[in-house]
Amino acid sequence: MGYSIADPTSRQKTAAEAPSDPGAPSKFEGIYRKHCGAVTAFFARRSHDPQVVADLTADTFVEAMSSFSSYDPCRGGARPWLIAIARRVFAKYCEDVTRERDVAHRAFIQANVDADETEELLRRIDAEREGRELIKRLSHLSPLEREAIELVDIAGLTPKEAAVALGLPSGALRVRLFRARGRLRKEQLHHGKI
Amino acid sequence: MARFEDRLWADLTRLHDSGIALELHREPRSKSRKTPLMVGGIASAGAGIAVAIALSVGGASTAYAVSPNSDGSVTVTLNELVGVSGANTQLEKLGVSVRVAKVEAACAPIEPVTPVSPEVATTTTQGAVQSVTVQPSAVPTGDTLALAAQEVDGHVAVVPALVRGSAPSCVAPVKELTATPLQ
Repeated sequence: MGYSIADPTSRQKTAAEAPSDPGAPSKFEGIYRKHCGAVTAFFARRSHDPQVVADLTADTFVEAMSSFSSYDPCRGGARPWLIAIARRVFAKYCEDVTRERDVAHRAFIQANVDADETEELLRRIDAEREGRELIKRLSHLSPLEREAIELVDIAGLTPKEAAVALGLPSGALRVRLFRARGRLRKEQLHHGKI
Repeated sequence: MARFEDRLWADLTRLHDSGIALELHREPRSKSRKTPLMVGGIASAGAGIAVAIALSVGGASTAYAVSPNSDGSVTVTLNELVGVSGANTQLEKLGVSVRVAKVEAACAPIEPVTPVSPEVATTTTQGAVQSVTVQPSAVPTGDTLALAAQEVDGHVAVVPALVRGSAPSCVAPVKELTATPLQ
């Protein structure tokens, strides 16, 4: 996975220009501290590898920091905003893996986690084991249905927040959630798991 | 998750404080492309989170950046020699025995030349940008870590050297020490 830096003169806003609001750095830290765990858990549900989890979490917050000037809390809150970024980051990562790009080539954050951090991340990955297994069981659902279940029933977002994270109207998300839960329940009954 | 979270935050802060504009565009990379180099952060392998940044060219890059890190170290990045005085102002504010000294032929040489151990300072390079991460607590009492800055092939090379007492404002070319070659 690779990133390059474009000429910032072509940008309207940059992270460096963001603090017309002098409180922006501390606001961002508040968001970071509150939601770092949720973002890490998002990737821990998708990978067993602590290095991958660390890198993708770092990528997400770099992108969030870069776009913080355009973040609008009225549009649904920090958590869905970050999850939306995390989804994009993961999609790019999967694309790189699929296309066999050298995912070790990282242009902006290389989180060379040390032993203590690895242990922390492994604990997080282990904590998300049930979530990972559930997501595997949802593999027959459509991607959006699967994500709706994951974000609401595993990650604990409200349906409204999940809708923002997925870029869906709230009503559409609720429909998908309803259908997905119905299919899952049917499947569980069929397999005698309830 | 505290340690990972704190380390990542330290690097994000360093990115922000350096005032380097970030625009993220994804480009396909060929397998033959070299691993992007690291700049700033902790350079020793496996020692923690390091930050790799590719700077824009001809854009809004800053002349210097001085970033305190969560482990007490300080990372100094010089993009242009004009940033020397600004960097020194920041270093003075931080109260650390580290100063940047421009390399000029007419200035006095550093004598004797004391190689700097990695515990004191490490140098990392990303493209045209070189950074030095210093652990001020490892600088011997009474000494100053001078970061000899000189322009090399249009880029600023920085060579750390320990000097007795306070650092000079400029130093003669440091021939005995080999600067980390720019990649």
